[in-house]
Amino acid sequence: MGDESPLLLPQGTLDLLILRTLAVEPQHGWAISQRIQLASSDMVRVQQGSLYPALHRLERRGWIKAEWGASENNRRAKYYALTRKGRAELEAQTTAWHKLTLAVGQVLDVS
Amino acid sequence: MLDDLRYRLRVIFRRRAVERELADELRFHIEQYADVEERSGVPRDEALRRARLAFGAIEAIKEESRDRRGVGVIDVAWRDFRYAVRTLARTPAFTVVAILSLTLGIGANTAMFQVLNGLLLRELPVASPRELVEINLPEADLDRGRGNFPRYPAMPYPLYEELQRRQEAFSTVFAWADEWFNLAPAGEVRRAPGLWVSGDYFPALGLAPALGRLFTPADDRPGCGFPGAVVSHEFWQRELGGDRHAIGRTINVHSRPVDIIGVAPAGFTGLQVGQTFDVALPFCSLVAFRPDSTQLTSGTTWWITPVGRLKPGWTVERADAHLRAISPRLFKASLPPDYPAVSIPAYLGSTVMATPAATGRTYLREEYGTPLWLLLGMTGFVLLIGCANLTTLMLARGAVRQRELSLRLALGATRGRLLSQLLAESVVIATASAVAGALMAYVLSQGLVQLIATARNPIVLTLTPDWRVVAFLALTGFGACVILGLAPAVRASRGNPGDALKSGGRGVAGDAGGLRLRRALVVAQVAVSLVLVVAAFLFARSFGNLLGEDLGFRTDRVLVVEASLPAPAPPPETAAAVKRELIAGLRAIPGVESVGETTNVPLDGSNSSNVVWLDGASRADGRQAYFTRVSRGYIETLGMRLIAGRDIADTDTASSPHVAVVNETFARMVLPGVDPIGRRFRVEASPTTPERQYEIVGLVGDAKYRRLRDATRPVIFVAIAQRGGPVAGGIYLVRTSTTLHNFAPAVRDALARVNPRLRFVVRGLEAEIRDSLLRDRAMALLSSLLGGLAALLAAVGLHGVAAYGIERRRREIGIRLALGADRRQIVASVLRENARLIAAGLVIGTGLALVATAAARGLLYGIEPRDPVTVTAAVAALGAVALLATAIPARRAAQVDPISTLKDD
Repeated sequence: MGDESPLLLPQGTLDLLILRTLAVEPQHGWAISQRIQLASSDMVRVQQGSLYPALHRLERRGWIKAEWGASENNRRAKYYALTRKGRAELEAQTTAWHKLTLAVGQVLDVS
Repeated sequence: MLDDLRYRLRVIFRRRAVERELADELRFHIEQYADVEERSGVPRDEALRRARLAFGAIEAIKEESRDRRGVGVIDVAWRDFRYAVRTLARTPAFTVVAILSLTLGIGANTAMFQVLNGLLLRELPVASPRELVEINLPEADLDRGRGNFPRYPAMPYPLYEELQRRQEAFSTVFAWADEWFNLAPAGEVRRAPGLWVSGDYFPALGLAPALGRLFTPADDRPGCGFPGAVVSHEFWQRELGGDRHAIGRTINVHSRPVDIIGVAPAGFTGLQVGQTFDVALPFCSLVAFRPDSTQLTSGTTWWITPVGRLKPGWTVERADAHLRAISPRLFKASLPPDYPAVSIPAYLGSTVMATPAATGRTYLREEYGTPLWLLLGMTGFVLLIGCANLTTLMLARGAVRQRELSLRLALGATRGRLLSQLLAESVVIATASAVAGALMAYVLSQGLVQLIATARNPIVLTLTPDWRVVAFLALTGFGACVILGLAPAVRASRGNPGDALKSGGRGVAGDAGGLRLRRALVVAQVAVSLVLVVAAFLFARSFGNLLGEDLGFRTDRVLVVEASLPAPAPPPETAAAVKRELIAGLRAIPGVESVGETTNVPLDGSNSSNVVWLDGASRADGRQAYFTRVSRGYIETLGMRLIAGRDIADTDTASSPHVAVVNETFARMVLPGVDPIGRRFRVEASPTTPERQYEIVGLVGDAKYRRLRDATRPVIFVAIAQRGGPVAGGIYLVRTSTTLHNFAPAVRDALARVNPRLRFVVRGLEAEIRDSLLRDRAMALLSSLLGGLAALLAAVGLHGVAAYGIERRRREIGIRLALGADRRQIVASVLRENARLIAAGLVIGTGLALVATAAARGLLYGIEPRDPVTVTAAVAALGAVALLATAIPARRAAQVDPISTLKDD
């Protein structure tokens, strides 16, 4: 845990991060939050308060699906996996994200 | 797509499993977190605690996850519904009381509305009913019309023919007239509602037969004889057992066998809402039934109702203007040759007009329109009062659950969710009540109709629910639900969770508001129920006035016997002989005290009037007087008071001078301060008799004439034998020495013996007059019922508030008692507090009653709507009931045990 205060995620970014994390392999909620934290070098910390509602929302949209399985320490855990629809969505959103950051970056650099 | 559907169905219907999974999932997360903490050396318990702390409001996350599951309105509704059902099931007593009382309220209201809808609003079950227009004369013109009025309002047949020829507004003008048909082949009459119809009646209404065929214009031709009869669907079911081969079977109508040619469609009961028909015959058959009848040719027998179907593009207003425009030509062309000369200008100046007939027409509407609206308003008020009680119960329920709700709020449930859950309870209660109420209304509305129907005048209304009834039911249910649930739900979800949790079970600051609301409700309940109690008192007193009204004659032990020979009419000598035998036969029955013949049975609604002026005065000084033709024995049979002179005698015959017996009012109006006996007056010419002079031979006491409610009129009794030709039969009043019940059979036997061809009806005069008060009886009965119910409900409400008030003051009372206060003082203070509420309600209620009861003015007899005695009595009665309701809990206040109350702390 660094001293820097964690970044605030813009609206909708959490969905993208979850999808990206799940693109590697199916994971349970706890692991998803840990992975994101790790991958962002602790810059992004996912609030449980938004993680689970987000997972349920994504599941409802059919981008991810859930299955119960055993965790590493043999607890019953709910594993989420990317669906075909979710993978397409991930690609689309990633492209859009890159375009956006590029554009925003350009604007900021100009000034 | 399929996955999506499966997901949603699972979310909705496998709720428990989904919930469990959510809980498991979150628990897993917390345990994982705790593992991490534990690895850094924290004990397991502490690790779990930290994990939970870090996780945050678990219920809020659950709630939000649920929302994200999406699910939408249906799921939320389903969830709330199940929650509501579960909570309601935990308090069965409350639930049963709430649903039962609301069912009664909604059921009674819907029943009332169903009858009102059936009588006033429903359109006729015919093709395009809105194109139908009834054609008639305005009342003023009808009043000046001369001749016979077997029906009212109506017009003569020749005028209808003229109308058909000259009008341009309608694609068809058809006509009908109702009449009581006699379906018995001989002996005692079997009255059945019958219809005379023009040939285009059924085609113009666009009706298809249920069986056989209906009349067409080809059936209705002069000299048609007996083309057959069309029977109603109901008659076919009831009398013919729904026989598929009923066509060709014969029925007896007016002692003539007639073939059935068709059955009218189900649900069609004619154009008179509330009445039905058994048998319909074409107009042209009339002469076959009664060869000597002039009904189709006479311009002075007012008996048919024409109905037009508007041509495309025509409106009722345009048709009305058109009819008024052609009226002068119509009346000129149809002027009857026998019309009295003095009345011709009035006839020629008459108009015909068009009135919309989409909902049919019926005298019942004038009779029962206002009463039904009033009753609907009253039942609505009762429902409101009942709802107020339930609101109080819901408030109390909310207060009890305040802790539970606060806890849930504290755990992160949103207020919106709580609100919708609390409202869901009212929705469940209201929906269940509306469904049960609809069933109840179905039975109740039939009962209501039976309350105003008699064997002689059956009322047939289509009561099957239509869209209006469904809308009414939904609206009532919705309204009840809003009243019931909204205030308590808003209150319950508004409180500050901390306060409620801290204060334990005892009253919270916010509760004062609850008491305020309850008090306001109770004041409103008392006010509204006072209006209903005043109404009940008014209608009861009005009915009492009618019952206690001095009729001027005696109705007990009097039979009305109507007898006649079937057409064709016998020659005068035979007719006179039959009549003599008939009267002799009646007089010969053991136990008969007297027999009198008449043309009008008093109080049966019929009347006959003409202009009368004193001999020597001019016609311009004439005034309207009312006539009854009677024989010797009429005055005696009715027990009327002969003040001076003599009764009509057998010696007053067609060849002797015309004589009259007049009543006191006539004498007072026409001959003030003069001995009327021996004076002469003249009566204006009528279509059947020329202008005539009468000599007054007797003076009788005043008696009611046409209807009980009418003021006393100037009435003249003239000798029936001095009318034109004798008729074989008539109406006879028979006074008997024993009770009627034993007597009617003897009369039937005697009539059958006198002449086996006689057709007759026997009925009791007293019962008939009682039947004419059905509306007043129904209003007295129903308003008393509703008023009593309202008072009871208000008393229950008051009792509840008083009890609650004392419960809240228990500690205070305990302390006061402990400090030596007098128990009587305590009771007095409680009573005073409630008396203020009652007084406020009564004052507001009096104001409301003074305004509202004006609507009942036309229905009351012998009493003003603002009658101070009645209003005072109602205030006193309701005030007493209300005080009593609060006295019971007040006594309980005095029994508070100070020690145990204070120990509670």
